[in-house]
Amino acid sequence: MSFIVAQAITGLASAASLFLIAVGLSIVFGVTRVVNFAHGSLYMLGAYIAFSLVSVMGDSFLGYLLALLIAAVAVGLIGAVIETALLRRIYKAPELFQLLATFGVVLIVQDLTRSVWGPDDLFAPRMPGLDGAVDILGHAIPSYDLFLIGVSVGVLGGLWLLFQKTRFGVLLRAATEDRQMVAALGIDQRWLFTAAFVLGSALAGLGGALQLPRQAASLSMDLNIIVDAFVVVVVGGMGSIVGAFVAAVLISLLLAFGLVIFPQITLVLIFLVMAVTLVLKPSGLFGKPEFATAEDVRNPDPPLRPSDRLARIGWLGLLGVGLIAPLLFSDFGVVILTEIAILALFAASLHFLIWGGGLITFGHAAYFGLGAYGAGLAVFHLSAGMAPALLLAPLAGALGALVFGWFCVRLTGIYMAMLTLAFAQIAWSAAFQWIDFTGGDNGILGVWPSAWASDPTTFYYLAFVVCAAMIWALRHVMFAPFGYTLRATRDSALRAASIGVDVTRHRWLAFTLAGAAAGVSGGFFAFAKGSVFPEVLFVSTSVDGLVMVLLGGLQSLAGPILGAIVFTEIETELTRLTDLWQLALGVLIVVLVVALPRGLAGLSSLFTRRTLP
Amino acid sequence: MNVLVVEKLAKAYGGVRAVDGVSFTVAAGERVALIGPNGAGKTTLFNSINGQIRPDAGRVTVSGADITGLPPHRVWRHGVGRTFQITATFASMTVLENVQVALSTFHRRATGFGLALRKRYREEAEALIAQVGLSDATARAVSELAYGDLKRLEVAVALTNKPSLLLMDEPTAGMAGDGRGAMMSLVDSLVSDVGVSVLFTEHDMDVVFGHADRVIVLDRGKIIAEGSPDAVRENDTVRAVYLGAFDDAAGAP
Amino acid sequence: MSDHALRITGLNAFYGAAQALFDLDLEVPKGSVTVLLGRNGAGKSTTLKAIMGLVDIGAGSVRVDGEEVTGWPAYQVNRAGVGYVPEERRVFAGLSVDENLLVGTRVDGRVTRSWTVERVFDLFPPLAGLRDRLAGQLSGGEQQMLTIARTLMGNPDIILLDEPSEGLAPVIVQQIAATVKTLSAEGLTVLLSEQNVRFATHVADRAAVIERGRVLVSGPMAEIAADEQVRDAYLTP
Repeated sequence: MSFIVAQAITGLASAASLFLIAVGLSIVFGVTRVVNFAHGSLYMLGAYIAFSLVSVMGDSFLGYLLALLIAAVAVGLIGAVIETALLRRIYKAPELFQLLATFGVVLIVQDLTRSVWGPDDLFAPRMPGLDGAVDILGHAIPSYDLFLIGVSVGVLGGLWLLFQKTRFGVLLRAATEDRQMVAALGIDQRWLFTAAFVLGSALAGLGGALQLPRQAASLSMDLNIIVDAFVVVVVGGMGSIVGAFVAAVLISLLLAFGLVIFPQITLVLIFLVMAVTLVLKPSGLFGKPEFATAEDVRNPDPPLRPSDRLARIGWLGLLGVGLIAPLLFSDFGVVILTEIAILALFAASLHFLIWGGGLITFGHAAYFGLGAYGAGLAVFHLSAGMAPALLLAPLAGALGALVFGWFCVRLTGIYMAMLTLAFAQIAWSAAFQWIDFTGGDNGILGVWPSAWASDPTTFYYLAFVVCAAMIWALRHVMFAPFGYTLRATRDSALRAASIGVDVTRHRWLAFTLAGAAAGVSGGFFAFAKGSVFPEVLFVSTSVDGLVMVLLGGLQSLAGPILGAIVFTEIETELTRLTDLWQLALGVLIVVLVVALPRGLAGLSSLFTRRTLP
Repeated sequence: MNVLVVEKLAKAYGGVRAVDGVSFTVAAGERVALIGPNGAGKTTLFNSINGQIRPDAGRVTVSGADITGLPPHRVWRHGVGRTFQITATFASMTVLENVQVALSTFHRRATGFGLALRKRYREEAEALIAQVGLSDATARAVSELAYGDLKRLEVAVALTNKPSLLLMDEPTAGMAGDGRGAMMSLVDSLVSDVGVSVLFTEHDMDVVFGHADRVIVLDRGKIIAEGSPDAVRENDTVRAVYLGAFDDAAGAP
Repeated sequence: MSDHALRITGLNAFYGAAQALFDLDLEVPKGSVTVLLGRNGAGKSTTLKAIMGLVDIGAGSVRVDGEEVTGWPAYQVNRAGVGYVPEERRVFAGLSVDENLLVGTRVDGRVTRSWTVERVFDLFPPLAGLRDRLAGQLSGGEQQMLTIARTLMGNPDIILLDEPSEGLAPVIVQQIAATVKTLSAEGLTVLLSEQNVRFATHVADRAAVIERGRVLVSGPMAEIAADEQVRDAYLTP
């Protein structure tokens, strides 16, 4: 019994920071409808800034407390800068673009934090006055844990009062429902948005600062916490303060007890909680059903046209260049070409989902990575040759997509984006932690092509032919009834269902198909690199794919190929030129979203304005 | 012969009985209007028949088959076509493709990977498009259509499964005077030519009294009156809760 | 000061890249009740949104009581004296009736005609008993009353009503019509878009027919109604 109480208190103390960050994310989303990926970065900044302040003024309890509060305020101000400089420009952009832009901020903050505070973990002293322990039922409970629990309950109460009892709170709630209407009633909504963002940022900063006495400030804090926060927000319901609190407590308790009872499957437990919640209540425990994503009726995609003469010449030209190119380059050049061919297929499979089905996935790396691991593990454990390993890759990708997709396709919009991301991160954690099977961080080495394909040029042709055939097949499917029906579910799920389409099943099939294609590309990627590391499953791989798709332009079937070529070139050059390549990539993403939302293919349309007939 | 039989249908939302034991029938070739104040339960009733909502109790039968609680895509297989108050079409396709997609589901080829869609069911689609008077717009993108034509396209799409029953949610909503008349003549011609039955909701009383064979009035989830347009128009309860001073020269509208 | 509560000249409006209004001209005299007639998608709602600054405006100008408000954000147009009641009602469903009114209440002390909570409840007696009820739980008619009441709390000189009768029972439509007449009698200028011909001819003294984003014809209701073509296309019930 006393063990349970002690463990519960530990869990609740962990819930405090999780609640603070999740509730901030939720408030910002509620008012601005932007899921701020960089919310984890604000949390991380809170910890780093608090570290610097504590080392100056943290000798007394009050000084330490003041340091934590100043850190929160400072992060709030940073939030004000981010909101006015970036978010204001993308409030009208599609969700996918918003997620990407804020991920750009994640990359920028990463490199800036590294430059200022260095790459090493920073340990702060404990909080004076709260560095002891309290005896509860025979267990020594750190008094700081009790302090954290008190703070989180206090913040919950404060937020409740703010939202229910003040005019500002009523305005925030009104804006959460209909911000345009709020503006039409004479409220300066820009100010309201900034205020909500500052509030959310300060809460994230406070969450990060409060963690300092328990945990070192480190550069991996941002993405680690954001995925947990996504899970909390999805389980609790987007936009719900109480939901964020309940879910944070639930998840933290689950982790606290899970770690003791089944340390191996804690992740699976969380995954189960999320999956069960979403199947029973797709909008989360306390969320309101998401109103249908506003389909942009006035600017729909133009109808799909079969290639005309010019387009056919273009495709053939691309094919010809692909076939001739290796003859013109060195071995290093051929390696880059191989990577382009492989990534073009990855991007095309992602484009198939996003453009073809309106399925916003932020975790496509999962199926790419599963393909890579499928091939790598076959070589490593079964001593399989290249051919059978490459056949296993699409199966692994498809199987993953089949299982994860069953849950994901039931959701839409931002919920789907977050769930796909969460699944991908779970796959990543599994690859990272299941060391006996996957080699963990050390990866799988020695995944080399068979002797007959070991020459870079031969391997290139193999990859090129297979990937080109797959891209052609995906394109063909878009013109077949399957693709049209998929686009039908995207244009109007309501209409599709009322002409006999099983919308969920059709999306599920498409998801699986795209998973298989991404698996093929992942399999080739493993053999091209000769190794597989957990990074292939990481969110940055998903983002790379999204950047390629957006770079090429969402509305063109050739876009993903163009995007893969340009992106691979840019990345190769950036890593060669600068240590701050994450910063450069982040800036590139932000600029892309803000200035070129239609991709390179849309450059020309910037100068013309289409009119209705 | 009744095409649609609704028996003691009920649906509640958190204690509010949106539909409270409603029973009625629609006969073959009959045009039945469903009217009532906002919140009377018309939409809930409609969506319970169509499968968007699962009723708590009661039974819905279409041409003798029990469709209670089936999802929309399976209700459709039983010969129920649907149009919406705010048109729902596939905005990124042409008029022809909209109908072809629906036909590909009807012929159970929605998951086909082979032959391109544009080469399938062309003549069948063109015939349906001609039936609603949209032949001139066959190759046009849906996004370019005028609102009235969109509503016609919805009808063509709703006809792809050779329905015995058309559910039309406010067929003339959002149309100006002359468009309303044209739309309702199309509905009348479908009833007389194809023999389909029509159940529709409508707030325009001129449309209701001009084009319905029978009128059902719903209030607070229950049927409060049912009968010929004239009988319903003269019904005192209906005048009090719904119609008000309709037709009264002094009290327009 | 100007004789016109609203004066629109050469207005072009866009949704993203798609143009919805083309060189639209419209004058709304002070104290009038002007109705915009036309098919769905003709540009009636867009005209109202363009006045409010809720869509992108290309060329053209919008003047409110002589003051140029083109390109102003919605909240500033509202503060210049324009109230907007959108189509589909759009109450804040999760807020109580009182809280909905609070959002609409002006706090910057502009006092021309002072609407208070008590006065709007006099205008809409059914709302008085529902002050703590969530707006989402109101009936369609009550919601329409609430959106108008909420807008009045901002003390507008001009009120824009987008399809006020759409989707409402005839008996409710008659009440809304009576309300419009009351507001007009209070001295408010009313500009509304409407499909319901009976409603339009009953409440409005001026009309403008909009087609494909342009004003086809405008003037006093009696003149417009006398035009045979207009009557057949837009004024036949």
